[in-house]
Amino acid sequence: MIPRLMLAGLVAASEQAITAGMRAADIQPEQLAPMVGKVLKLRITDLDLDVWIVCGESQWWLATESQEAADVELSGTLGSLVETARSLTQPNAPLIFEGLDIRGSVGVLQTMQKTFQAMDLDWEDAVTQALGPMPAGLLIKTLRAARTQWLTSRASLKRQTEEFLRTEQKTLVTDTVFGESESRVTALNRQIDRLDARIKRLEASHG
Amino acid sequence: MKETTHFGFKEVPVDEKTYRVREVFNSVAKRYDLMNDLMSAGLHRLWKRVAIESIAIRSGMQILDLASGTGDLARAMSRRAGSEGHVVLADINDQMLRVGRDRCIDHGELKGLSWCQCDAETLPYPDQSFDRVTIGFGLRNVTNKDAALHEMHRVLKPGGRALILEFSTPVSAPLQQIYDVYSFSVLPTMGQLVAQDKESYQYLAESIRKHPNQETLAEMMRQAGFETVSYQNLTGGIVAMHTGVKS
Repeated sequence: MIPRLMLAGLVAASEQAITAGMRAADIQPEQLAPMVGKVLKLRITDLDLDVWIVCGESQWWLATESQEAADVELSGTLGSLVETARSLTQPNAPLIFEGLDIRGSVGVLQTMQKTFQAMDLDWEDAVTQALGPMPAGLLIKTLRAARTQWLTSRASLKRQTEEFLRTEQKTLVTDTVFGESESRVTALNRQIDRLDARIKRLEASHG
Repeated sequence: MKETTHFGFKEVPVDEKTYRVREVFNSVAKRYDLMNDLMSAGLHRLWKRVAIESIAIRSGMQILDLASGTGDLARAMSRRAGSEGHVVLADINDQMLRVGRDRCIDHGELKGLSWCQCDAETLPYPDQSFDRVTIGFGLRNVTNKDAALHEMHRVLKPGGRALILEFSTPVSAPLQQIYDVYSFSVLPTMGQLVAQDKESYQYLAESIRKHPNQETLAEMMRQAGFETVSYQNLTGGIVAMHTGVKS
């Protein structure tokens, strides 16, 4: 479990990064207006972590403490939440909710998607402006390479796992099969014990 | 015989404590934020952040921040309350309020903020005026804490929440020992070096020890009328965050 204060620090840093990103994208308060007052709850199941996004007038706030009622609650793994976040920012893309459990108003997510799509979220431009062309070019290249590498590794691992399961399916013993075999062996053992006792009884009665 | 109360480890007449506390904060006002950063190694910012998160501030809320001092908690809440919201920075000490107001001006944050020099024991606001009432690192300096808690409850709207962020009692004995050495040896020395005021920081350390522990304060809040009272320890109980709801 992540200590609370460390988590607060991470959340504060993430919040500042989002604010800096929005500032770099030159987002005006009018663009955020449709989302003002809305609260989204993200339940990251694989990290056992709840994060609230509270939409303010000039920026969005993150919180890890309960924010009472949320307009919409998304529950899923970090990967599925990231995929949904990406679909929110892609132009003309449908909302992808694969592997997510959604409670509350999907309308809030649609408003969020419209808000994002109305923005010019070019992070590479923002990084170039902040760092200058040379360092930004290196950083962008590194990040792109890392992302490609990660995606390739993920796909490769998935493929290998599937192949392994397919080829080894016949030799793999499932928990149910193991349980059934164990109970059959136990039953046979009992029969042997009973037969053994009967033989001894017969031997005794017939000298 | 005159009724007395504690001022750090000393016993002083009740009507003298307010004056003495004011003197302490007059003395430390200008370097208060710097000293907070040095004394807590910046942790007070995270404590305050966690505290603000815990009371779910929404756009348009009316908030009263007692013992507001230099106003860092109030400014953070004001940003979340937005242009429709309003935060009152209240403090008994005019020097602290002045420093707080200067900080707001320096940060260009004046919209939705107002200042009030008042005593937390007798708030100059009608019943049910605020959605949130907070007091950060201030309750231990209040002479009559029960009266202040009743006033916090009175000015809250039904459903409103109160937050008390305050130094408290560490939950483990080894941490308590380290904390004692730090409070009574390092803290006053640091106060002398940075703020040229050893006595004020000696008082701050003593006042923390005289402050009610987590359970006692929670019970005091219940006695004042708060419901769903709960507390969370931060940094092993060095700081505790109490919240209560007015039904």
